[in-house]
Amino acid sequence: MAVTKVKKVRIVSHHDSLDTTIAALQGLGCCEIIPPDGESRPEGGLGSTTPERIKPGRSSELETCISDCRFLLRFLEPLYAEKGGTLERLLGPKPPVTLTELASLRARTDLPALSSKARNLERSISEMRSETGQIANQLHLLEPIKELGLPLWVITRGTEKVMGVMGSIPTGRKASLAEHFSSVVNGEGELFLSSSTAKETEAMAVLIFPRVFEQEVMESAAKAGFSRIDCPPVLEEKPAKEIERLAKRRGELAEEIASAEDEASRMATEVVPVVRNLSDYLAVLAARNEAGDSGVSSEKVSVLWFWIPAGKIKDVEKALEPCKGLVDIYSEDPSPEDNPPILLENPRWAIPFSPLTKLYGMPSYSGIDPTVLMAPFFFLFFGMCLGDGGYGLVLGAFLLYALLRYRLSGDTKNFFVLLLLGSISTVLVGALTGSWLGDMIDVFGIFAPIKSLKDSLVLIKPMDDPITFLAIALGLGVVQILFGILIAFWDAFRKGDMMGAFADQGGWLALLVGFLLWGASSLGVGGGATLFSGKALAAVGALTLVATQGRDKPGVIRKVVSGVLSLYNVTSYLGDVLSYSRLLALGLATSAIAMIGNTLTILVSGIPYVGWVLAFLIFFGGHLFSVVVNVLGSFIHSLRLQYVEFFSKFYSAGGRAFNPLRVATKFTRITGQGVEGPGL
Amino acid sequence: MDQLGIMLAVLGAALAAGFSGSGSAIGVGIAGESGAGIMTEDPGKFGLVLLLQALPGTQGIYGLLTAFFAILKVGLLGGAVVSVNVWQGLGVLFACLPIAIAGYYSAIAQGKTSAASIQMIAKRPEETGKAVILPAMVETYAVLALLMSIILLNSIQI
Repeated sequence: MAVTKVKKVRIVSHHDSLDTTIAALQGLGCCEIIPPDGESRPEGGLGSTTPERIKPGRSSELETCISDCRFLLRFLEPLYAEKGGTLERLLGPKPPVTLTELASLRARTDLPALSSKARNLERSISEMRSETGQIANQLHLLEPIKELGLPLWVITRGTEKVMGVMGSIPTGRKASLAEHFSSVVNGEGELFLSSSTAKETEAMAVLIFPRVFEQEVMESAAKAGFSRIDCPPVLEEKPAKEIERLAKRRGELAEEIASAEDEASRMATEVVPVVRNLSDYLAVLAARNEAGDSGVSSEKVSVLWFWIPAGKIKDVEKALEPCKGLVDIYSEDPSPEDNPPILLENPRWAIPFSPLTKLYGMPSYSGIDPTVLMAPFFFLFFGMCLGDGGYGLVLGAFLLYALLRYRLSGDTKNFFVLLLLGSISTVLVGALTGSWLGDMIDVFGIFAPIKSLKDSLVLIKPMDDPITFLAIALGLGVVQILFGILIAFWDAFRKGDMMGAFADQGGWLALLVGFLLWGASSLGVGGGATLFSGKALAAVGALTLVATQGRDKPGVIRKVVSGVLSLYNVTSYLGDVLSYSRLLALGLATSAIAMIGNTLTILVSGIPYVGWVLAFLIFFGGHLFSVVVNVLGSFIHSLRLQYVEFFSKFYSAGGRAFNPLRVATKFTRITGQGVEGPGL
Repeated sequence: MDQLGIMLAVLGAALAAGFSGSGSAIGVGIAGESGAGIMTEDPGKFGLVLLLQALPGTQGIYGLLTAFFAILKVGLLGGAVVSVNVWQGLGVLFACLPIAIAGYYSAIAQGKTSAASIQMIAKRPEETGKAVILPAMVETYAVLALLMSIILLNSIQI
């Protein structure tokens, strides 16, 4: 239960061995680069030479390859049919490859050619799509005037003497337009109005007239509500003929798009696995380059700085053995101004709980790792919130299947194991409270044989006796909150802050325990001795707080006033404890929703003919819904109790997670020489 | 007068399910609008958005739960017929009020918080854990109201 001690390590390497050194460190995956501008970085020891690239040109070529890979995956992955489905790829084991295989794959693959082929394909598909869109617009425009007997060039170009315009007109004002038009052109023009149904509010109109009348025609038409629409210049023939041509072109385009997409799909099937492997390989190389670039170079050597867990330095030395004579390793403890990265170190049983700590934020380097301290509480609270044996079994079975079916790793695995532990706790709580899918065992006749077994395990029934269960929930809250204050006490003590330990934490501890004893004796627990010790402790606590809580304030009066006001904080402790009542409420809610499901099942099963189908649907659908909703609620609320009620007593986040130079791959698992290390 | 007692209990159940359900509908709606906005940019966030959108929905379930408890209490859901006098009926009605009122308002407030959290995961998907905790802070008060409703219902002798 601690934050791992790390050391600041300087590795000086001759240029000849730099690549090997970095590859070995990457394989170990336990060294975090201290960037050149990092505050923790000491002077390079070689004066202030500017970092230079190890092999100029290599990086920029790598960048191009990486961006090619990214493009190929972005374009082709949506078209790629995953083997065994998407879930399999996300959760399933990654295929193993060696770096040598990947290097030869890279040599064999003409990435720029693939990329330019894919880019051309993408461009032509998008151009054809946009042409299809234009055609659709033109067809939409031409459809109403398909009966127009004039070629469209009259509108787009016109002649020296005659011109045409097309546009829309509100249906109700067709007559008015015709009237205006004929009065202006005096029989020398031609007007075409599209037929329209009663529902349409707009009709199309085409006006053909001598060019000399242009201004008058346009003005009078505008008065009638005519609004001009530009006719695309590509349209030349009569509308009917153009429609025919466009429809034909649309069909051709659709075929061409389909064939281009087919080609892209074929390309995806062929190329995506290769590009995925390459993209992993390039990422590994890029990380190495970045590590090399972080160094300060002289003519012969490079100096690199790393954060390395103290226990791993031996491994690093061993891994760099082959470069002996060319590499020098020197390590030192972090100084107080440094901001070392945080790596949590927990016993095996508590590791599944570490994602919860990470979720809140890493502790500071000198702080406490709360994972172990919180784990038992989270385990118990999750069980109490879900609190149904049947749901626990369903959840557990699902998680077990996922864990066995897919070889999960890292925090995903931790999270699944965490919930699996939660499901065990749920089954235990369910057994003790007699809730198995609510009251299923009691209400369905077929479970009668195991009813006595179920009843023999029951310790308390929250549904019948909520007050006792509430007392248990609040009691757990008192325990966790006092435990939190104790941790803060120990933390302050450990750091030599006696005032913080005895006055701040000790004062509250005495006051709260005193109140508890006082309350216990008033309920008849213990005797006069309990009452006296309770009162005495509370008094000592209160006096300590009054005397010390204003110690930063100037002047006696302000010290005393702040001290007395600090006692008001007792309400926040009261609120914290009451917050644990959610353990009862959520547990009850789970059993009750399950019970409602059972009740409805029995109600509908009486319906003739379809009753059993409905009963089946309601039973399975209802309980499935209930499991999902309640697992979500239980997780969030038991987590909240840790974060808000428990952590607030002693924990402050603010650390930075350890992010070592490692073989970080997305699609493959790299094995073989140079990359297999103990890892972290 | 027995009928009046039962009808008062039914009114309580109706208020509990109706108000907290309405609150949840508004809350889930607010969160959903925000989620749809995010998904126009990045449809891949569907899972996370759905999770956050679902959070203000629990009040509706709590209300339904209380309503069922209430009508179960007065024997309307099968079982033996019990006689409920006016005072007992009023008691059931009052017991339903905490979740009806707190469920309604807290679901709306939680919907707004969820909507804000959805905006947060749009920019910082790695902070999902924190985004889920914020709406859960609001839900506390619905949980407390549910607890009170259940304890009150439980304490009414019929």
